[in-house]
Amino acid sequence: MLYSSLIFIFYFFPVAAGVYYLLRFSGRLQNIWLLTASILFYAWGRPVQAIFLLASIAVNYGMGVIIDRLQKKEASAKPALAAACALNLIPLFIFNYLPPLARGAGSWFYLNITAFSSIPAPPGIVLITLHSISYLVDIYRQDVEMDKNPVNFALYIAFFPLLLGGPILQYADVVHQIARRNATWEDFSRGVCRFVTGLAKKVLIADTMALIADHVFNLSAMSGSLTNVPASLALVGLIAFALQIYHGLSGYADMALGLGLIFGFHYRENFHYPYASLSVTDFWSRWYTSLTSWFHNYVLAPLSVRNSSNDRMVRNTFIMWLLIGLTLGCDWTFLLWGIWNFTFLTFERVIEFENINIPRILRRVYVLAFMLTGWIFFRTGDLYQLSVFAGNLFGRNGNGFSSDIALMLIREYWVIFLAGIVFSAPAVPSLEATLLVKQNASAKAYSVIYPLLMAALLLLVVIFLIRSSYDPFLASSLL
Amino acid sequence: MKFSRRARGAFATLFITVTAVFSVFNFATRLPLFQIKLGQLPAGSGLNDMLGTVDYIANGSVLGENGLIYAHSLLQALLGKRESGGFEIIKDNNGELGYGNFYPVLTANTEEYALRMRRLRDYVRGRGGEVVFINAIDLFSRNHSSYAADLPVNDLNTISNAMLYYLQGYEVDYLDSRRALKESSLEPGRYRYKTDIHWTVEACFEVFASLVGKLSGDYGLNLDPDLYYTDPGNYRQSVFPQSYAGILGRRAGTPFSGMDDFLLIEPDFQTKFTLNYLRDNVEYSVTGDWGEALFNHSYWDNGYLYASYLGGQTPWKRITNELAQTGPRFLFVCDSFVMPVVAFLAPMASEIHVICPLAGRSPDLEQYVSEHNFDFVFVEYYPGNMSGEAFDFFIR
Repeated sequence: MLYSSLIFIFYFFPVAAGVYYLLRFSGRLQNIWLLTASILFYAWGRPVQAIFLLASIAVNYGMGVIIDRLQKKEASAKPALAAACALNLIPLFIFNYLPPLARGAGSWFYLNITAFSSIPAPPGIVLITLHSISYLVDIYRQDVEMDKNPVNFALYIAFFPLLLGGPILQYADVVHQIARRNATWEDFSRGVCRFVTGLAKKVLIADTMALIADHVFNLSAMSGSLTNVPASLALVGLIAFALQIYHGLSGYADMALGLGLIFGFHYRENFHYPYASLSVTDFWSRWYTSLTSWFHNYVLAPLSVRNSSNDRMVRNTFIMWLLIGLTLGCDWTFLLWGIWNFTFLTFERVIEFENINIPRILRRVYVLAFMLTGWIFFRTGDLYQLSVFAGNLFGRNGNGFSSDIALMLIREYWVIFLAGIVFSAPAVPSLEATLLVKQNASAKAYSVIYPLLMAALLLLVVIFLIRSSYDPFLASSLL
Repeated sequence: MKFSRRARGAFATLFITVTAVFSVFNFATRLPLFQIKLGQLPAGSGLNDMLGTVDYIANGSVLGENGLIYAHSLLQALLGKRESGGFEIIKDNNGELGYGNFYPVLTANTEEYALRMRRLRDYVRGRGGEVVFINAIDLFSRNHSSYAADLPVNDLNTISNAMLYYLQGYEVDYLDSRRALKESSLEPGRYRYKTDIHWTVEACFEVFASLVGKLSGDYGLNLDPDLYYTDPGNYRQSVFPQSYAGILGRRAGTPFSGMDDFLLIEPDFQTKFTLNYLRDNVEYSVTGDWGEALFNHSYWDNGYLYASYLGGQTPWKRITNELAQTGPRFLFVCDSFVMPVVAFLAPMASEIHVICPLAGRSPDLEQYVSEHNFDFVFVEYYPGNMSGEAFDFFIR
């Protein structure tokens, strides 16, 4: 089930939230209910998937108990932690890495290996793995007391608002909220607004941009067998992908944070308008911060010792970015994407980029060029397609620059392109901040208009959702 | 801070009220649909099938869906767009809708389908019958359609061309409806509805007349020696202006698509039929004149005007002509396009059987043909429907 689906908005969410607030007299029952709803949410598409989730919960809870006991007995818990991490990484390897590795091996040895590619990966497997490792390490480090209540632990792993797109939690940050929290009307209303904002970003902008990006990258992947991809078309596709990935991921984060607030959870912000960054370092302090924060805490920190030399720091950062790349996808292009980010971050650190006096506009152009080029690695899927797309974009394939299709795509979707670009910048927070300072008539007008705008946004989302899934003859079954 | 808190609170109140009330009414009104669709699941269906069905209904149909589609369509029209639903539907300069396709590659395995047609022909001939293939026209016409050069047009004529080419190679007879319509007096703008994938009822009449002419000329089956049945003057013709939105129009919404005029053609002579048909694994029977037996009024009343002819496609149906029990017996293996043609042909045949493999579980064709001796078996498909499922016969 997706958050951006009618079944979630009009069936699942009202029931989940309604029952949750009916159980307001008991926090324990509220958690049991949220866990039940989360398992139903997870199992919806393929009930068998719930086995993975439940097994993951059981194994990690058990390993957590073992690590906790060993720590308390002052025995070495390191082997147990290593075994527990391996138990989490093995399914991730089988589902996410084995199929492409088998395909790769097959193409090297001229074998048709399809055995592993038929196993669909359970949704959210990366998030579940990262959450589980965070839990085990935090227990091992004794950063927090282990929560003995298995329901609370299961909720940490399976809570439905986080399952599809994060943010990635660190156990120590949320353990107390799971055990005890208080959802206020203020939280609820902020949560609702945040959820609808995220929904609109995902449905209205990201999904539309995905359609354009998919067509352009597919046409490029066909290497001119249908139509050539001139530079302008490649650029339109790349910009569409940049808008898709930002509004998709930040939309999911908004929905997760909003749903969290509705149920009384406060999570850290995951995106801070990264496309408005002034350096690559700045970009990575604003883009999916829970991912980099997780790797800093659970990869970089253990690798680093006090007073590490610069060489060691560089080496460790390199390893961290390779692992981030590999976590997001199993292909050379993801490794290259990791190296691409590492290179720019290290370069900026070496030349102390933040301190150099460069006009803001040039800084923005530099960050956008870095970011757009990085997305080519991320989106193309393999090295051959990477070279084809880059060749199209930089005019190396002889396809020229101008494209009727590019103009048509802009003509048909200029409103969404414009909205995508405007809302990538902190336009709304700036407006709200200005109004807050003034507290004048326009501020009062805004407080009246705001609920109407949000209602219109929700209506627009429902209209787009029904248009995409509507079956005009479904209702005729009633004839 | 206060104003934003108040504003958010106001929206949250609106949100929970509207979502709660809408969800309850939405569920109450969709409940019969859930019951029907879940009841239609074959015995032994698993949890996955049930959840899939619930998901499909919950996402595919909501209370006030027509109004929401209308609103979407209005937005598209106001923005001057020429596509709807992410290029699912595109509009040409004549206002005619078609499917969009960025990857127009030949996907239908037409040679294999033609081979199956040949096997069917041999089998039917062995029982004294004949086989004729009819291709329904594509939405895109190279002579008539006028799309902007950059729109991704889905031209399926290549599939039709390939199919007819292979049929010719395998010596299976066919009626190219594109040629039949070109040779008729019908204006190209009336071959198809602007808002539907189907050809118009008047185009069907022309194809029907052409088929009768072919059966007479090529096979000596003189169905209409006095040219009575193929004379449009013997039919009541009523125009319903701006009254029809077809499949594409319904999906895209009428502000974007506009509406079509619908010409209803019905016999103005004495008829009596019995129609037996299978729907949701239940056999129904209706007897009466053409308008009572072969015209489905519930579809008409709900705006599905084209599907009123024989009630659209169902897995199986049989038309028995109560006034001409000695006429020829026909079998149609087809999609929904040909239904009006069948309805016009019905007065000239003693019995017409119709099997629609794409409409659900239909009888095994080989067995069916062996059990009934047909004089002619017609296979008709729209090029977009030519698939392994449509030609699910004589696969060996």
